[in-house]
Formats: sequence, C-alpha cells, structure tokens
Amino acid sequence: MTNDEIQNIFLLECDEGLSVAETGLMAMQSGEGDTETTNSIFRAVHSIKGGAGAFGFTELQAFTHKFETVLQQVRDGDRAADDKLLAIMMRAFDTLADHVTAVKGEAPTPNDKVISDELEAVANILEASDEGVESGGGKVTTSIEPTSPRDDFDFDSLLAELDSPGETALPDWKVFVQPTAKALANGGEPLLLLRELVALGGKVIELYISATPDLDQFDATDAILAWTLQVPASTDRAAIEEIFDFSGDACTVRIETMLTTDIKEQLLKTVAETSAVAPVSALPPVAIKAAQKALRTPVVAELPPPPPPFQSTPVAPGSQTIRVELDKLDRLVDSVGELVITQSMLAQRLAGAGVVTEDEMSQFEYLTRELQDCAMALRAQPIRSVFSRVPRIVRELEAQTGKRVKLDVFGEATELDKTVIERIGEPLTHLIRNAIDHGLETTEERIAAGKPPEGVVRLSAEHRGGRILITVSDDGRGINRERVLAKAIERGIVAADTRISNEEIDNLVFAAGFSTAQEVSSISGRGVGMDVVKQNIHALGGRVSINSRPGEGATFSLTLPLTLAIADGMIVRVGSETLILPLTHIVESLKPERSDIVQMSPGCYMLNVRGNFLPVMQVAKALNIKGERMGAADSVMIVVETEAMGQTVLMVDTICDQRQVVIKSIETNYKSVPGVAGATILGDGRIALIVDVEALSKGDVGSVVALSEAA
Amino acid sequence: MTTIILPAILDREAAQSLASEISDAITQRSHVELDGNRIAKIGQVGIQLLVSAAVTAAHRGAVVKVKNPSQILLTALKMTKAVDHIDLEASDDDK
Repeated sequence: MTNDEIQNIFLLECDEGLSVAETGLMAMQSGEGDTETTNSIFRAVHSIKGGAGAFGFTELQAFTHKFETVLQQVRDGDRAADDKLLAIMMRAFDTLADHVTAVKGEAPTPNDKVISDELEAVANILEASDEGVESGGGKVTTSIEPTSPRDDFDFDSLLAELDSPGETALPDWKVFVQPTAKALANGGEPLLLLRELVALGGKVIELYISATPDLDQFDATDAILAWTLQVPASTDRAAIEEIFDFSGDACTVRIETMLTTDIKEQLLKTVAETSAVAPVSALPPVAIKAAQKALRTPVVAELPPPPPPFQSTPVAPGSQTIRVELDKLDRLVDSVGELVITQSMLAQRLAGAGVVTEDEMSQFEYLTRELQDCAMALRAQPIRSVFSRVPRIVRELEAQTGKRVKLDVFGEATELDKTVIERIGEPLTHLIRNAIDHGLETTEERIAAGKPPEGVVRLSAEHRGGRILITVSDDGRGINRERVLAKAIERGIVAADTRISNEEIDNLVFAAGFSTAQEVSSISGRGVGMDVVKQNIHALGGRVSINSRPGEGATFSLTLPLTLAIADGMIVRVGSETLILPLTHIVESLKPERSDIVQMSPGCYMLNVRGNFLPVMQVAKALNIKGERMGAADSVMIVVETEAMGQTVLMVDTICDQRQVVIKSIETNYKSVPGVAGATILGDGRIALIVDVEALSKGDVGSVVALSEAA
Repeated sequence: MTTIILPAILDREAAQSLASEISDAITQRSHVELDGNRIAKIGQVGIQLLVSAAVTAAHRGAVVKVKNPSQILLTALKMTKAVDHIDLEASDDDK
C-alpha cells in the first residue's frame, strides 16, 4: 500500500471520526450524553490527532491537541460540560472539520486563533482552579494523626506525570487483555502474550480476579483472569497489535492511551496505601499539593470504584466492514445490469421459440433481480453523511440571524445510492437555510405569537414506495402567500389578473429569480436558492413539493429515486424508433378527441387538457426520427412536467410498455447527445434511447437517427 | 499444617488434580503451605490455581501460603501481579 493510499484511508477515517464526534456533541447538547459519549468524542479527536501527526499535518495536529485537552478534562470529570463549554466545543468541532477539509486540499487552512485561544483559556482556568485547591485547602480533611511519609512515595514525579500528558509527553498505552477459554485450548498459553507485552516495556498494573471460583468449582479449561498493562508511549501501537494478530477470538483486547484518570487512580491507590502509615497532613507540602491536585475531592473520599467489567473488543474478530474502491462496485453494478438485460433477452427469445421454461426462467429472473438488488445495496450509503453537515449550518445560521433553532433529525440511517447522496447536499442546504432564514420567525415574533422562543427545524428521511422521501419542515410562519403573489406579479412571473390556487402560489418560490427576502443577505436572499433546489432535484429524477400552513410552518418534501442506475420508464414507439420516457416526468397519457387538438399553424399544435391548453411537442420532429408516423389525431399524447416549460405534451405514436430499465451512459460509451439522457437494451436486444425530457421541452436536442444507426 | 509440593510442571492436568487436593487440605487444616520450589513451568492455569487457593482460603477462614517459590514461579507471579493476591513466603532477596 502506498503512502497516498494510507493517507486516503486516514482522511476517510477523519470523516468517520468527525461524524462520531458531532453525533456525540449533539447528544451532549440535548442532554443525552453519558460517559461513553464523551469517551467516543475524545477517541475520535484523539485518532485524528494521531494520524495528523503521522502525516505531518501540523496545524491539524496542533489544533486537535488543544481540543483534546479540553475533552480530556470533561472526560475525566474535571470540568462539567455546561452550555458555555458545549458551545465552545461545537465551534472547536467546526474548526476541526475545516482543518480536515484543508488537509484534503479542498479549502485553505482555517484561522483557528480565536477558538484556539478559547480552548486554551478553558484549559488554563482548570489549571488555575487546581492552584486554588492548594491555597484554599477547604477540600482536604486532615483528621488522621501525623506520622512519617513513606520514603518511596514520589509525588513530584507523579505530579509531573499528571501534568505532562496533556502538555508535552505522549501518554502511555493502556492495554486490557482478557484471554478466553479458547486461549487455553490445544496447549495455548496466554501468559506468552503478556510476556511479549512486558518485553515491549509493559508492566501489569491491574490483575482482575473477580471471576475466580472456589477451588471446588475450579475448572482448568476455563480462563478467569484478565489484566491491564501499561506500555510505554514510545511503543508503536502496531507493535502491540501485532502481538495479538493471531489471537482471534481467543483473547479480547483493548488498547487505549493512559489518561489522567488512570494516573490519578494509581495515585489514589498510592495515597490510600500511604495513608495507612502516613496521613496527608504529615506529608511534605509538595506531596499534599499533588494529592489535592490529583484528587480534587476530599482525601477521605472513597477510593474510586473498581474498573468496570471488561468491555473488550476482540482483536480482529472478523471485520464488519471492508473498504472497496468505487470503480469496482460500479463495474459490478454494470455487469449485473448487463445480466438483467441478458436474462430479459433470453426469456424473450425462449418464449418466441415456444420453449416452455417457466420454472427455470422465473427462478433465473428472481435470482437476477436479487443479485441486482444486492449490487445496488453495495452502492447505498446512509444519508447520515449528508445530514451530518446540517447541524453546523444551523449553528452558523443561529449566529447570523440571532434566531434560536432546535434541529430534529430522523432517519439518518436511511440508505440511498452514493451518487444521489453526493448530489443531494446542495439542495438540502438551501432548504435548511430557507427554513431558518425565511420560515422561522425571530425570537421576539415567536414569543408574541405565543410560540416557544426556540424554533424547530425537522429533517427526516424514509423509504417510501421504492423511493426516498426527504422532508424539511419548520414550525415557523409558513409561506406568506399574499407577499409571494405580490412579488411574483411585481416580477412578471405571473400576470396581475391570474387566479391561481394556494398550492400554485406556494410553488412560485421555486420560480427562477424569485425571492421575498426584504434584503439580499448572505444566507438565502439571493433569489436563486429555491430555484436551484428544484432544478437539482429534477436532475436527479426527483420531485419537490410544499405543504404550508399559515402560522404553523412549512414542509418541503423531496422524493428521490434510490438509484440512478435503473429507472422506471415508459417504452414508446415514435416512427422507426423505440424510446424510453422516464416516469418521473410523466403526469398522464391521453388519447384525445380530435376536437381537443388545436392546430395553431402547420405542424404546431396545442392540446386542450380539461380546459388548459398545453403546447404539443412532436417527438419525431424534434429528434428528427424517420419512418412512418401517425398524425396528431391518431397519436398518443403524454403530458410531462418540466422545469423549464412547466407542463408540456409529447406526441408519440404508441405506448408499448412500462418497466424498469437499466440505464447505460451514452456519454461514457459514445458522446453526449442533446435530448438523450442515456440508453437501455430491451428484452429483444434492441437499444432504446432514454429521452431527456427537460432538454426536449426546451428544444435543446439533436438527431437520434445517427446515434441509432451508430448503435 | 499441611504442605503440598507443587509439581515441576503446573499445567492444566496438574492444576485440575491439585485443585481438589488443596481444597481438601484447606477443609481439613486451617494452614496449608504450597511448596513452589520445584516449579519449572507454569502458565495461566497454574496462576489461576494459586489465586483460587488464596480466595478459597480467605472464604473459609484458612491460610494458604506459597513458600520457597522457584525463580520461574516468582517471576510469573510478579509479572502477572498475582503476587498481590497470594500469601507468598519468599526470601527477602526474592521479594
């Protein structure tokens, strides 16, 4: 593996770490965090720091070190994670994310001076309070009679140890080892593993014997002991892991860094031991200071509870996930697509030849579809990666608008195709910005309206009917239809005397250049955001709808395909060509009466659809398709919804079928052809072109004849 | 007082048979000594036996001492920190 490959893995792990950290911080903010939450955040940041150091990303390493120091104080219980500190940690997280983006080369290195100073100030406050313990002395109970201190009790060195991990020296490794019965089978000897750790400079700091049975229940085939060892920081973690490489599930192991808590635990034990012969008041001042500093609780306090039951992670128990290059997945998906087509062709050929293979072919079809579903699932990812960006956007908007926002997120585990995930980010960002900037009222307005001062933005995702439904809703003021309509009339988007429904008024916010913001702001008043949302969603084969309730809020619903590799299409015949029309565009298909077709000029028609006159586009003419064609009166009219032209009618000869098709890229295999979104292979082996309805409606098309002939 | 001489190789088989022997000794006598002078090989199960003996003795209000530990036994007890849980009677030099 090359350095670049290793570095790429590190960057991927940074993203995963950031996701874990943000989830944890949000849990803490909502009051749902516990000790493990803090631990998970600490571990995530610590891992990023370690990798940053290894790859020489000094700025990232330096910043994570400061962040980690504060997290360590929280984890150790030295500092309560109150609202103020959580706000600092959230900003630190944002800066950390910026640093990671910078090391990826996607953005310049962020200026972290302000937040760095804040983190350092937090850490220093704790240090100052430590000094206060010494001078105040109120926390120390000295009721024990003085005697001589133990000569071998070196508080100074322990103090140095206590101070050093967060400042200069790297902490030692803490290795938990718990052999299982398997480790003893076949002459296995777990103590050899311990010896190897000792050979690395490690030493056992704790032996766990709580599982030891009475001699009458003694079973020599069972492993009942477990250990914690301290291994010098200078030891490469890989060297420790290597010892357990072949242990499999015979041994559960956890490798962590020694933290101040661990050192304090040792110190507490030493103090406890010492107190039996030397009460605190008899110790030299420096010793008392160190003890107070370490304890930060009365010296007479109980010793900390014993280590929790082993929560060990087996070393390499069989990985749950593996990383696979996207190209390999795409090739698999492509091959499975070919298989689906071939299966369809075979079925059609056999049926044509009168071969009865009902059982075999239905089984073959079932297995092929199963394989296709599995292949698609490999490309599927949780939408969490997109949703995880939203909290930061919300935080930034809170700061910019002064509004208080509570973000509720649901369905983060909902999976959809990686390509869809990559393209959904921008429209989602626009919707969130819109909900906060336009949807939610100011705190004062909310209070005046009898609402809670904190607005709620709800983001959710779920599978519904073979598609994914993403909703962004708020409990704000809802769409001000009067203002929207007035603005639309003012901008000439609709005529002044137009009578349109509430739903149509709501949809005006998607019109190009529409904006009701009183002032153009950096947030969402550019008048392009919602337009972009609709375009992007349509480009993905999706749809967007609005449900607004005045005074109660608005909900924007995005319906998206789960994948871009297959699509539902209507197979139509136009002249000598068979074409696919994506179902996402199709509103309805009609076989109109002659009287409903109005000829405006030779070859130019309008269709009367229940009182609405829609322009008719002759697909054959637009795509220059040859062959005998039906006249307008005998043709099938398909009403489609387009971004550029609204509802338009496509005139085709006949509708042949409606089915799921495997999309083949024309651009990849040939070249980009205007008006053609792709191609698919039909069951009879013929190639059918998938029409780019959007381009077609705008007249941005080429001839498909040459393309068909080329195919 | 009963003295049980631990075998040179304290493996699984030896440990299993010694467990009942030591248990019986603890039941019969309040003071049991385990002579570890001959031990040349000991693994986790052997350590477990000694710890179990100490735990059992404590529960039954008896005393189990490990005396004359061989260097190998002493090293193993120290390395595993089992020395903290066993009543060990070794020379001062060894301690």
